[in-house]
Parts: sequence; C-alpha cells; structure tokens
Amino acid sequence: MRINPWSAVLLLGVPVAFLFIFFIVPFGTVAVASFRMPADGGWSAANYVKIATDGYYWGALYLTFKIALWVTLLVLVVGYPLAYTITYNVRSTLLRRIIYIVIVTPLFTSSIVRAFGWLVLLGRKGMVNDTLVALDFVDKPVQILFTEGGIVIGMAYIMLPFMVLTVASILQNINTSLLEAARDLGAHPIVAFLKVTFPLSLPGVIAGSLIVFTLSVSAYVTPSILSGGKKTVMSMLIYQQYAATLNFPFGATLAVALLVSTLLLIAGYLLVIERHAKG
Amino acid sequence: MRLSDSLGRASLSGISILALIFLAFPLLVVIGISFTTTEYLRFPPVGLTWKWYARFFHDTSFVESLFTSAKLALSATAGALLLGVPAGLVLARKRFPGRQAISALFLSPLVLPTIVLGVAILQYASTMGFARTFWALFVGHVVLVMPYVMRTTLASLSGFDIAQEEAAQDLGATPLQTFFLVTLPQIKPGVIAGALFAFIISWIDVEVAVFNSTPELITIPVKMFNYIQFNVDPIIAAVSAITIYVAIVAVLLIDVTVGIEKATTRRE
Amino acid sequence: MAGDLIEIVGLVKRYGAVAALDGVSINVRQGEFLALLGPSGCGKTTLLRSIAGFVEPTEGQVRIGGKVINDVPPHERPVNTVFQNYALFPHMTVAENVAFGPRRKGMPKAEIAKKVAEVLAMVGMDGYGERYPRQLSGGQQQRIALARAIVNQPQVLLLDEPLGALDLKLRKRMQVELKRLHGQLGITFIYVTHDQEEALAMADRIAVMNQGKVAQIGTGQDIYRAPNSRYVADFIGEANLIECAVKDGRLALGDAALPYDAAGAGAHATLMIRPEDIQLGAPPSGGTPVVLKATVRDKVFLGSAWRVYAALPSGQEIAAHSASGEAVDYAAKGAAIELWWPRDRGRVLAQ
Repeated sequence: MRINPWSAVLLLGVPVAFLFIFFIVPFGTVAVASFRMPADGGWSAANYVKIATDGYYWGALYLTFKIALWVTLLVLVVGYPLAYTITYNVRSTLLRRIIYIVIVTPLFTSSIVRAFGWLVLLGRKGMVNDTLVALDFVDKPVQILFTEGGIVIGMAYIMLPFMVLTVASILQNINTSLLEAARDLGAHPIVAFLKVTFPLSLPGVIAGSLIVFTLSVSAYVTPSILSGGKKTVMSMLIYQQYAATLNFPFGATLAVALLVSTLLLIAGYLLVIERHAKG
Repeated sequence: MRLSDSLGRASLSGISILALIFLAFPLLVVIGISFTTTEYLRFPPVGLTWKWYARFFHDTSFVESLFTSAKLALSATAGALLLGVPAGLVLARKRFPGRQAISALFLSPLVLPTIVLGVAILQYASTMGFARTFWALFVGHVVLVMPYVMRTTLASLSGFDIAQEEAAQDLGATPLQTFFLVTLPQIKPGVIAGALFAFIISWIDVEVAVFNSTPELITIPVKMFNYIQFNVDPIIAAVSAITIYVAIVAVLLIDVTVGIEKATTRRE
Repeated sequence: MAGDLIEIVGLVKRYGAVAALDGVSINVRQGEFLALLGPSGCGKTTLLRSIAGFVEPTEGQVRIGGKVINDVPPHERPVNTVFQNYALFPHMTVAENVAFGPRRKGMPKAEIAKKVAEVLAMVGMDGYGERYPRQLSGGQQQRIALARAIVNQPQVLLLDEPLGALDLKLRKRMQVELKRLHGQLGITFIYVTHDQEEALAMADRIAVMNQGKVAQIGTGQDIYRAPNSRYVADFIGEANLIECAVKDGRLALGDAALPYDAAGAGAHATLMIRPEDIQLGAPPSGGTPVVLKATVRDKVFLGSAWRVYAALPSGQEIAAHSASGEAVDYAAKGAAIELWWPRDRGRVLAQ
C-alpha cells in the first residue's frame, strides 16, 4: 500500500513517542536515580559501591542466577521431548489442539495462582509428599517448600510453556525429508536425531533458553511465594527497596545491577555460541 | 518398525505425558480446592460446595479489584491496538533507515525484566505526579502488552498479499478505505489473537501493577498476592479458579479465531 | 503528439544505483492495444506500475489526456489494472469484488447491481456472483479480475501478464477473448507480457523493452520484418543471426560477398534472416536470390514443418523451416546442399 509520508510519520510517530515517554524515559529515570543518594539527593556512586562490597548482595545475585540456570536446564530437559513429540509424533489434529490448550492455559493464568497450586502440592502434608511416602521413596515427609529446589520446581512450571512453544515453532520448520534422507542413508534414529534434527533445532533451543533465563531472573511472584521469605533473590530485594524501605535510589541501583548483569551473561552466552558455530 | 524405534517413541511419549500432567495438575488442584467444604485447603476436596465462590462475590473489595483488572486489561488492550496496529502497518509496508531499530524498540519490553518496568513506571510517575493512579497502571500495561499486538500484526501482514491493497487503491479506494475494507478484514484473526494475548498479559500481571497499586486501586492478581501473604483459605482458591476459567475462555477463543497452535508458534 | 491519450516523457525510475526505467518515452493513442514486451527485469512492469501510480518516477512525466498525473494517487487515476495473480479479495464474493470500484464512486445500489451483472455476462461469468474467488478455477478468476477492472470504464486498462498463470490452451482462448473485448469496449489497453507470440497475436503496436529502455516500438509486422537491433531480432520470433565481415562497404561471409550494403556499419555486421524465409535446393531463375552452400547437421520434425539445421562453410549454424516433403528429402543428414532466400528478406543489423 502506498502510505503517504505524512500519514506514515503520524501512524508510526505517535506510538514511538508513546514508547519514548512511557518506556525509555522511565528506564532512564531509574538509571539516573541509581546514582543519587537517598539522604540528600546528591550525585554519587555510593549505591554501587555498597552492592559491590557487601557479600549479601553478591549472594542474592548468585542465588538469582543459580535458580535461573537450574530452571532453564530443567525446562529444556522436559520441554524438548514434549515439543518433539507434539511436532512429529502426534498425528491427530484434535489431540494436538488439546495438547496445545493444556500447554497455553497455564501461560494465561497468573503466576500467583500457579505458585499457589504448588504451595498446596509441595507442603509437608501435600500430595507430593504423600505420594513419596506412599511409594516408600522417603520415610517421612521432606521439606520441599521454601527450599531452592521448591522454587526451581515452581518456576520451571511457569517457564515450561515458553520453551515448548519456542522449540516447537522451530521444529515445525525443519524439512522432514532431511530426516527421511538420513534414515534412508542408514542412520540409526538416534544418530539421525543427533546429527540432523537436534542441530537444526538449535536456534529454538537457544531462543527458548534465553527467554526462560531472562524471565526467571526477573521473576518476582513465584520466588517470593515459594521461598516463604527464607531465600532472597534480586527481584525480592528490589521490591523491598521500592515498596517497604522506600529507598528508591538504592532500589534503582539493584534494578540496574540486575539488568546489566543479565545482559552481560546473555552477551557472553551468545558469544560462546557464535564461537562454537564458527569453530 | 524396529524395536529401538518403538522404545524411543514410547519413552518420548512417556516424558511428554508426564510433562502435560505437570502442566495441568496444579491448575486442577486449585480448581478442586475451590469446591472443598473444609475451612482449610484440602486436595482432593472434601464434598462439593459453592460457598467460597459466594463469599468471594460478597466481598466487595475482591469484586472491585476484579472490575479494576477488567477495566485495566480492556483499556490497555485498546491502547495497544490503537498504537500497535498502525505502527505495525507502517513497519511492514515502508522501507526506511532505522526501521529495524524501531521494530526492536517495540518488541523490547518482551525481554526486559518486568519488575524493572514496574519500578520504572512508579519512579517516573512519582516525578511526574501521577504515581499510583489508574493512568500509571494504564501506560505501564500498554508498554507491557504492546509487543504481543505488534508481533501478531507484523506476522499477519507479512503473509498478506500487497497486490490486494494495490488492487483496492487501483479501484478507487483511499488508503483509509483500503485498510478497513481489504487489509483489516484479512489480518483480523492475527489482530484478535494479539489482542487476546495482550488482554491476558495485562490481566495476570503482578510485577508492574504491584508497584502502582493502592488499597483502593488494586488489580485482582495483586489483591490475591497481598491476601496470600496473610491468609491461606479456600476463598483464594475460588478467586484463582475464576481467573483460570477466564484463561480457558481466552485460550478457546484464540483457538476458534486463529487456531491455538498457529497463534502460539510462529511459522516463518 | 497532440491527441494521444497517454504521453510518457523521459521516464526514469532509479532504485539506488539501479535504473529500472532509464528514459522511456512512449505515446499511446486512444483505443490502442499496446504491448510492453521484454524479459523479466527489462522495466516493463515498472513502467506499467508508474502509469497505475504504484511507482513514483524519479524523473519524467506521465500524462493522461494532456494532464500530468505524477502526483495523483492511484485511487484518483482514470486507469484500472488487471493484476498478475489477479489480487481478488478473498473475503468478498465475486459480485462484491466487481462492485468494489463502483461503490467507491458512490453509485446507487440498483445501478451497481445492474452493471455488475452486465460485466459478468460480458466476461462469460454470469451466475457466479455469489461464489468466492477460492471456489473458481484460475481461468475463471482471471475473468473476474478483468470484470472488476472494466466495470469502472477506465480510460486505460493496464494488464500485467494477466494470462501468465494459465495453461497454453486456455491462454490462447483468452487471447482471442481479450482482443474481442478490446474491440467491444474501445478502451485503451496496455498489456505487459514476456511472451512474444502473445504480443504479436494481440497488440496493435509492440514496445520491445530492454534494460529500462524502449528498444523498438512499432506494429508486430514492422518489428518482425525490420528489427532494428540484434536484441529485438532475437527476442521476436526466431532468427538466424549470421556474423559477417564488411568488405568494401558490403557484407562478406568468408570469401563470398553477399549482396547487402553495409557501409557505415564498421568492420563487422550481422545479417538476420528468419528460418521460414530460407528455401532448400537450387534457387529458381529470376529474382535476386542470395545463395549459400551448407552441410546438413540435423533435422527435427515440428508437426506442421521440419526444421533443418545446417552448417555454413564458416562453421556458423543456420536454421531453416520447410514444409515441403521433397525439400526435406533433399536435406539428408550430412548432405551438402544449397539454400537460398529472396534478397529483401535478409536484414543488416549493426553491431
């Protein structure tokens, strides 16, 4: 369509202006505030110094990334086979639709509801413990809730649909005749998978793990409900500063620290992948 | 078929079935609990009662926050549509320097930590004097949900035959008529799917809303979040169950309009 | 020229460093059927789209009825287009598709219905109004695309390879129908095609395009008989292009001088002769035949005729068409033969 230049400027300019005013400027405000002193409003890097020199914050950052990493791995291990199965092994259209509905419905449900479900399931008298005891895996109920393991399970649950959908959308585009060709040339199914399907699906794995990792790093609701206040991740610290302590500048510093370290980790990850692809 | 094939397939199916149970179970648990007759959380539920739903509807603060959430999600979706669809149209049809950067800008709220967006809106609104108002929630949620509208709009436009727009103009339609008579009717499924995504993302958000709420102006997820810190009783299960029903309706609507598989996985 | 409906003056369209149109000037008469012919990338579609208004020319003018329309948006131009893949609106019925143009003009409903029925009958599609495009065959969609355009009674109908997607038989039939429709309507047609046979069969005049320029414009017969360049000769019909030297202002092939004047052509020139103009065997007495000796390499049966490939003493290959059985028997594979043509059928083309 021939959109005349003035309409184009208007149609695109208004949304861009909106994002500038309500997205870029607010992020800028946070970045600027992180260099202010809460007491007198003067300029200072003291907030950063405080984070860098206090082991407590390093601990929170470490825990945040550790949980995010475990969540990403767990979700990949469970999500990939599911994506593979629905793409290649489910023939019935109706069944596929039902499976997709089962995958997407949790995504459309508030993380509070989902974390709440796990709160019930993982408790000392919850179904998981009941089952474990009944099956004689353990003698008495174990502590799952309010541990790192519990947070990882609850977050993996929240992140699983993202991984499945991302990997499935890449798998759909792989030409199945390549697979048939590999089989035709005598490759064992496992070899065909390792040499053909998996390498071709790597973009999906990479994109999916990036999404899951960034979402896990910034997740707030799930860790705060499932930690019971016994474990602290970065998002919880940020929330405390903004909602309880009302120390906006320090909260801003924590937010910037989280954002920057996440971006650095992602950049490093992408760099490694690129090196690997070239080598 | 060889034995190793069937074994491999069986173990894949096994993992998949477990994963699907893993996905469905917590929601079923919540729905189950909401019908228990006990005063404490209990699964499987004991008996069957609607009393928790009744209590929820008698608690005006819950119902009010339900309305706040609905109003917010509807207006944020409308805002995202009004801004996102025209922008998507220009980005899909015009070639100009910086186009890639602007596309990236529109999609970037998707990858930045939502909690940072929440505090950014709070801090910005405080300096501008509209902190913890409906407007703060509104602009935050428009930014939050716009990428979903953009993504589906751009995807539908990329699959759309531009010759049809030319044909319409050739036959005497103005650009505006062309859009409403020819383009929009055909990208409608994509736009509707994007709108439903946008609605839901706003509807379930905690991270942005939690910083911009007051006891009077509070969305249902934030209300639940605050409630759950102090009370854990089957009312919360009833509220949760209601939001799950909304999610199921939205998913089914998307499935009917564009197909759930097509809407959630992008074929290039 | 005054009185011409469309005047295209020095039209240039550049995309970066590439010129899709490189100084095109064409005049089209009222009621004429003009074909824009050339291979893909020659600029013919860009030219058509500049007339429709979808391409903004970098330089030059497009005038219709004496008025410059460079800045007139497509929806206000008195032209309509039949698009290459029809571009029918899939969400509208056939009748709604055809009524799209008249509705934009605010024509009363009853009148629109009447016109739609009329036009559908004209293209042989009456009774299909309630169908959707996807329920129609390619040929039927083609007719609807045509109906949708002509219902607006444009001053000019632009057709962008409208028959390209149809099979050969259907294409031939549609060529005849389009030609008939052109006569009935009296509308000016500008028709883009890469198929020279199609252009010859339908057009009053043909503009052969090459690399953004008009290589030659004229009636089909003019261009076929008297191409002005190797490019045009090669593109329109089949042609033997024999590379010759120029000696003393005349063409020469090896030792043999040929009776063609080539003064001013430089050291080399090309002689063009159509295969069907070449006769096998000794020339009859009288006239001014050009005679060459050759050795038969191959012959191929084409149905209505044979094609004989023969090598000239210089090694160049020459093709001749012959319908006569005796001549074909004469040209046995490997035989040394004579071939000839009336002098005036050959044409000298400068390098």
